[in-house]
Amino acid sequence: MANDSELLLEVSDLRMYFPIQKGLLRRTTGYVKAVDGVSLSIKKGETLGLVGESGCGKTTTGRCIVRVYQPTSGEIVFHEEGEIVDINRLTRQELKSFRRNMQMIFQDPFSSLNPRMTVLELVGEPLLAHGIARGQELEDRVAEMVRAVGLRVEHLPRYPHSFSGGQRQRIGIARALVQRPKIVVCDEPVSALDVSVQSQVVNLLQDLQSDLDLTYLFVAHDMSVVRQVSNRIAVMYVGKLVEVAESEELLRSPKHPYSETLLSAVPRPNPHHHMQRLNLEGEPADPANAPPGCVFHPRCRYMEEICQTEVPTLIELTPGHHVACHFADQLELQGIDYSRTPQA
Amino acid sequence: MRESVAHDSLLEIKNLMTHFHLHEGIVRAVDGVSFDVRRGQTLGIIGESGCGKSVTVHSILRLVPSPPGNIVDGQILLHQRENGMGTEAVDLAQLDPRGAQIRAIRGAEISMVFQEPMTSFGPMHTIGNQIIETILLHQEGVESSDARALAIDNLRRVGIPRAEQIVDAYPHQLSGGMRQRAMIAMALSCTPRLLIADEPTTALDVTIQAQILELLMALQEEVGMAVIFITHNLGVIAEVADEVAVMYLGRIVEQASVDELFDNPQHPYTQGLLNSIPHIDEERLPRLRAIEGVVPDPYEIPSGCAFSDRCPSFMPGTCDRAMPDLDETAPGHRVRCFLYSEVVEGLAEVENGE
Repeated sequence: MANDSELLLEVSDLRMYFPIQKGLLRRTTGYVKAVDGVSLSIKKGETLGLVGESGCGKTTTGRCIVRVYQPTSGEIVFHEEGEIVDINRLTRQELKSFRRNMQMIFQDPFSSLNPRMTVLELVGEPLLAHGIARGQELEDRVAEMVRAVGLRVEHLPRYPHSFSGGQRQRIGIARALVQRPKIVVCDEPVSALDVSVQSQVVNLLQDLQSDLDLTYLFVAHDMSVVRQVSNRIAVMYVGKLVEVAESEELLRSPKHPYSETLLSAVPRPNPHHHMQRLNLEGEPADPANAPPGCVFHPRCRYMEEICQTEVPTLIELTPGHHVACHFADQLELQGIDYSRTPQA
Repeated sequence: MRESVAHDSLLEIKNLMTHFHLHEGIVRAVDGVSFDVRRGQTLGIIGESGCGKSVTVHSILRLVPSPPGNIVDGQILLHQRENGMGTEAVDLAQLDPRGAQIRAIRGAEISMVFQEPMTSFGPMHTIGNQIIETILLHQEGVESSDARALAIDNLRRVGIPRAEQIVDAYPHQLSGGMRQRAMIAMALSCTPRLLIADEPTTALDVTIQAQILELLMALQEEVGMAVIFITHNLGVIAEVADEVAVMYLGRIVEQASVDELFDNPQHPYTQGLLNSIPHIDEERLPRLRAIEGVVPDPYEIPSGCAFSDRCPSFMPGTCDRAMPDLDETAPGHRVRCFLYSEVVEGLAEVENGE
């Protein structure tokens, strides 16, 4: 876990606008502001969880960071052994060789693996493409990686269809980690898996993190899973970060009304749990047509006049606890009280 | 209202077996499932993919594609509306899946809500027309002019704003949460006595999921219908169910009231599931306590107890020899495990027969 506070990645004012084109001439009539001014930093060896509902821009943020998308604007600064690299300014050629530092693990293990490639080819391809290894050395490195993710060497000549969902996800993890990246963006890596397999993959990701000195950006919608793996959690809503804090701090004392609602909406596996649920009215705002002021104000129970006109900025309320809410220091929000339910 | 206790059951499933005959062999998707659904009650069925939970409910509505699927044994007794002489039971397993009788039951007495509402609404017709069609099909004496008003009422009841406009919308014009509400409106348009909800909130965001769960529970109270709720999410089941059945590879391995199941889980699989998930209300564990292994391939189910190859309490010579029976260990709590009962599946009936 993160002992030193050495920064690995700093994202500032990241924006990703997708044009909306209409008509015969494909005129741009507006923009979907999928990511709208996100700033965050990730320390070496830590896991930053990024949570939010579908369409909030969490996946897009992850993809911008590994430059799957070319962001509209913003800086993505990567610190590498004293050197500073702005990923957003790299040329295609530079990016190609830099890519091995940052990898992605995808949600759907059924569509992210080429069905015509064997496990050896799938896991070996990145090494070959970057000219890192070939021949026997490649096979050795692939075999080592495949064992590290809990598969067997006998699996190497097989094709993805002969594996279960959990095993396929292990192949995807091996493929991402075989180049020894510094940072891995995990995009909903367990949400397509069965309950009993989810926990295996979560444990695997945590083991690999300490074995291989990895830094994770863990993008997911399931608060319980995110809390299990993350040192810090960032909550995103309609393209903007609304709160960032240490995981336990965020759970215990959320400072943004949206985080409070998200926590209260998590279904508890406990029939005696009768916490007053804070129901959110309505649905998330449309990122192509976000409301003025605070994007959350149409659904917020604490909304005041200022929220409808002024956009709150993300401020550091207490050390390490950032909130974007006009009333962050006044509201008494309900967090999770786990003093009552002892661990079985 | 109720004349006798015996009529408390709305649906009785007895030893249901639905098998699929495929080139690779026979898949015993549902292999001897029995349960009762009582009036007004919610039965939760929980299990991982391939455990047979969806095939079980598809068998009830006779929606299992045949070939390759067949109900090879068992009864699905639906106690129909009381007609003054007490209730009359229909065995749905004996009906022609394309016949008039099951079609009259589907959508009227038993209706279903699916995981992905986009797949159950036709894309070519407005939401309103699809609800109106259901109403006209199942409710005698409703004029088509009144049906539209009924459809709007139904949409309003599930909390859809501007129902008189949404009634003319096409499914793709609605958000996921709104589509799910519209599907619930359609399912409830003929006041069914049993609603089958197959992972109705799995595709939705947590805040929307919370809204839909609350809506379903409120409507259930209002209408008094019974619900079979299928999910893989233990948190959702704890919230909605009165009674829970845990399925593994085509069989119920444990069944109890929701409080009993969560307070006193007995089957190693149930215990494993509850232990393996992260609990947001508790201190964080350094590692999750995962269940070993994976759900086996349907053609390679271990001999004896189907969970034996993953079970931490595996007893060699016992668990790999025979399938334990689902036996009652406490009133209302049934477990299929040799740790609690020595009864072997199938033998009890033989002994009784002698």
